[in-house]
Amino acid sequence: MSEPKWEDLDRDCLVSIFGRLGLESLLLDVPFVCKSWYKATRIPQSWRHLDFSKLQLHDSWYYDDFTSRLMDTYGIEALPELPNRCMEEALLYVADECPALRTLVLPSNVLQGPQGPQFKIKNHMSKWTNLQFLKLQRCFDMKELLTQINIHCKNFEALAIERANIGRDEASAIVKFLPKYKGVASKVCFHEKEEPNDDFEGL
Amino acid sequence: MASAPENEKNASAPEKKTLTLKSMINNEEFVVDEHVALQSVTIKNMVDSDCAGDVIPVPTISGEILALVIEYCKNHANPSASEDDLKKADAGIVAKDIYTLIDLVLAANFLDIKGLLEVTSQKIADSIKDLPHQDVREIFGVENDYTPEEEAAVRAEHDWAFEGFP
Repeated sequence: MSEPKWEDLDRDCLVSIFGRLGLESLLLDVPFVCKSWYKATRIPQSWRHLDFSKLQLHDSWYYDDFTSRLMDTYGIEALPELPNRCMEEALLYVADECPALRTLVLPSNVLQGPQGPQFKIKNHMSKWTNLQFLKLQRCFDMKELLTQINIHCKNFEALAIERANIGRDEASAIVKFLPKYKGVASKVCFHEKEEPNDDFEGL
Repeated sequence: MASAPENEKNASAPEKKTLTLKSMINNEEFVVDEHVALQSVTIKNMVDSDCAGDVIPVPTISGEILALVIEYCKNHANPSASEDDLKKADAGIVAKDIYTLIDLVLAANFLDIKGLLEVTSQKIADSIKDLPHQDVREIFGVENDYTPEEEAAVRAEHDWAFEGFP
């Protein structure tokens, strides 16, 4: 009996392992290990934790680590400024392609007006039934978002919103729709440091 | 089904039902309480559909690995174990070299034991995370099967980012 090899590992096992990695490993390292690992990174179930917070989406004289490695690896010379519409399509794409999604963190510099993509995110909750953690910059219709999460995401654990207006309506929606909830974090106003508002932690 | 005298015996001295799991690699046998073994969905399906004889043969899993799997199942079948205890015990089970972990992840997948598959996958993922692919290859003993041209093609491939966009 020959020893099992990592490159011949069963596809289900590879996906179970890769689903625990994030964007950075899945894009920059794993595909280059060997062909079978590359193929497993193309399976939607490998993409369960999408944290775009480190990704810069605009041209700049300075790119942080992840963005510059991404550009190097894939020979991207300049990042195009993405219009709102494009992000909407990206979200739609993620909604369709990543049914196993558990974590979603949207990039901080996505355009985010009342009609922006972050506003539309509530429309995708029905596709992400495994979602556990969501982080947004802004949220204009928290009540509706919470309603959708309550209906579709049974394992949901935590919601973070960078700048949220939490009034009486929103607070009661949190209590009503997310009773099993491990946490809500938000900095309500503009703070220097990113820190969760104590009032809502541990709800 | 059980005959009448056996039923009587069970009634007077309720015995725990056991199953024997046998590694087909080195013929090692393990006698396990049924409720412990039934954490494996594969074994449960066999028992439920009456496909399991006195001895359940387990192909492709060595005795050494089967012992680890059974240790995991025993821990998790113990109702008085706290979450903390289980975490510590799980960490002990997966604190193995990379060649044991591949056997363990295959066994967990084959026997369909969700929790064990999760902790083993997490342990393996932790040793891949944030490492350049050259290091991953070395640690996992993976042979590079890319030709330089193929690797360049993967690198040049960023069309994926625009898939689905008009």
